[in-house]
Amino acid sequence: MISVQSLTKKFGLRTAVDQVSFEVEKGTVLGFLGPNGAGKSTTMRMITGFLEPTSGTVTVDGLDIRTHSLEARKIIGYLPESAPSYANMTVKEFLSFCAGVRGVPKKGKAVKAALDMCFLGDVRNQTIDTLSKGYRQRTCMAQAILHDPAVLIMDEPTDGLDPNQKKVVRDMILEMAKEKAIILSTHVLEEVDAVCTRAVIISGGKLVADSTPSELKARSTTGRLDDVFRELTTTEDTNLRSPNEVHA
Amino acid sequence: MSAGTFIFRRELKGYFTSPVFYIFCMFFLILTGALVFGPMGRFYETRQADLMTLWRMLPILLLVMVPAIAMNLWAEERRSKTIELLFTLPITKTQAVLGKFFAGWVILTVVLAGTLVIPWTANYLGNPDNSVIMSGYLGTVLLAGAYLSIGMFASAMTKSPIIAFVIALVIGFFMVVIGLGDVRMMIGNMLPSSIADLINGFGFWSHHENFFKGKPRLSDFLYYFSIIGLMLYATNAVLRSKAAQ
Repeated sequence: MISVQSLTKKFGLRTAVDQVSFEVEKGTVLGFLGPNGAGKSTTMRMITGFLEPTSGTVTVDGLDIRTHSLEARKIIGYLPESAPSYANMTVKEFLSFCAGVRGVPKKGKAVKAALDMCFLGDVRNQTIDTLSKGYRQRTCMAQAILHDPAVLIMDEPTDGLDPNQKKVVRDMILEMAKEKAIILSTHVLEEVDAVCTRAVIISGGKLVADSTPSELKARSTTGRLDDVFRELTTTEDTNLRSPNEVHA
Repeated sequence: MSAGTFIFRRELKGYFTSPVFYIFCMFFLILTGALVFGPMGRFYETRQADLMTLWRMLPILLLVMVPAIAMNLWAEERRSKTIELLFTLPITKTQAVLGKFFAGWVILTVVLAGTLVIPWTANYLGNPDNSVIMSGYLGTVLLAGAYLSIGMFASAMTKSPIIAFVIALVIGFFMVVIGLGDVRMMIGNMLPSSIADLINGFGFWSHHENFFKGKPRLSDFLYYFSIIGLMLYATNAVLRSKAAQ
């Protein structure tokens, strides 16, 4: 469904994403892991067509995101980092707007379904700037799923949510997983265990692991995902010295 | 309905639900009224049923007012990160640019319609040539569109509305100044007069003058449409290059 080939992005001299390749099939929930600044968001922005890659290709259902951008974007749902939305619109207006631009048939029904699915019914006529973080996150989530996309890309979907809301979002993802190819980025490792069928780890722009969560755990002597993550993503310069060493 | 129409409608609604916009309108109309009917405007003293003062004031008022409306067009999208949402929807940058531009243009036309009280007064007191007045309004609407396209271009370049405002103001000011008759004379003293005419014709003033004197030529229309087209194209190019950066 999603095919990423040697994707590279340079900002000036800095290489943010370096020769990243992976594939995601329908029914897969791919956890995109990595420390802050590893290039997760940049990769997602290239997959969704917001940023142009310096080199490499992305195809979604066989459509190149650069040459068949509009067709490809039609089948992608995207929840950007920090879940932006138009603050001066009501939830319903915002979703109707997105549905309109997307040319969703039976707009009213699609908006209603998205409102229900994201538990936004109670606040549908409230302007978005009056909503709490959790509601805004779900509003942007509703925007990502309202056209029932075959591909769903979510940048830190549970960021800033309380434990109950996290549970709701994870359940939603699990429910949609069968029908779609999903990529979600996170630096919360428990999330990978909870929802992902596969995990890739990216560090310093490079892909350092691509496997199932259980296989990754098996790599570590302790059997914990945290330890694998730390081993794979800590390089010489980011390696934090223990307090003893600092004082020595 | 095409995707661009939804952008257009969203933007249009955005103006009417923004309190800042109403303050802006009030400020603009009070200022225009004060300048035309006040001691500076000499509307009554000239004892002529025409709108010369209005036509002379509007380019200057719009020079400041339009960038204030346009500064947020893209800067705000960038600041609130909704630009990432917008440009991952199945919509071309051109559709988004046109949707925003035409919504802004319609709004400016509505605001300008608020000054119709001035020709109404002129009609009440005398017998002005209303075809000339209509021509003046047409020219002013086109001028406002040109300012708007400049403001939009400036807004696409930065995420700071203030910087966008200043850039638009500087470009607009330049376009006004090079068109003024006195400046044409100054340039004429230094450069051959054909070059001076060319520079002069590039500015707003001579075209605006043709409209408010009731004698617009085809070239005046073409001039405004070229400026608007060029600035919208440049806006598009800036948005594209930001995606490639």
